[in-house]
Amino acid sequence: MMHWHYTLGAILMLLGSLFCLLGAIGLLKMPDLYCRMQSTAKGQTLGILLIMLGVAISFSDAVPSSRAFAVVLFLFITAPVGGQMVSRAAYMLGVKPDETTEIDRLKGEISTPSPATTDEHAH
Amino acid sequence: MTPFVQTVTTISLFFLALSLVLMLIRIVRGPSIADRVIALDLGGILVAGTIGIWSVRTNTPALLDVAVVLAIIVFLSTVAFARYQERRALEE
Repeated sequence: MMHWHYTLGAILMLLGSLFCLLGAIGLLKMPDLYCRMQSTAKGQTLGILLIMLGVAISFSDAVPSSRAFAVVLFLFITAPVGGQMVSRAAYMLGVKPDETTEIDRLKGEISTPSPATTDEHAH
Repeated sequence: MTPFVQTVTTISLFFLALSLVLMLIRIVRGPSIADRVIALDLGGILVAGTIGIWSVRTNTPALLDVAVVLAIIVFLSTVAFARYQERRALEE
């Protein structure tokens, strides 16, 4: 009996973990919070999609495959919502974008505390 | 389970472990609290992926339930942080 679906699933899982690694490298190397969020969101979304596709193909059974696709579905719904909420809260708390950022449409729309008051409240 | 599949899943688990180490460095270093929150968010998702690969490797499909629950819990913690911080920022 051939186990070709295990081989295909393993290759997909390898690709997915590689994308997760790229997302983590972006999390470490990017200059400011907003760039980091962009890099991790893309890395983890594509990485988990490929890993769970590999899991579903490896098992080739209805019950584990539905679990794997449930993970992907939850992630695809929740990642944009969570990212938007965290970035908005961070902007309100006064996390500054990098100096090289050219367009800042929230400037003036949302009042941000100056860094001095943020430090004061951190204590 | 062929040796090829075993080798490839080992390499995948190694990549995910390396990502977790990079995430921990960002948690230690992260200048603001939001950096730490998105790093933890990525960490939870990485653990869910690790559970998926491990369930294939040990041929235990029951572990995938843990991955589903983890994906939901991680989102809930991120949203709870964001709402709490936003309210704190509005009160100032």
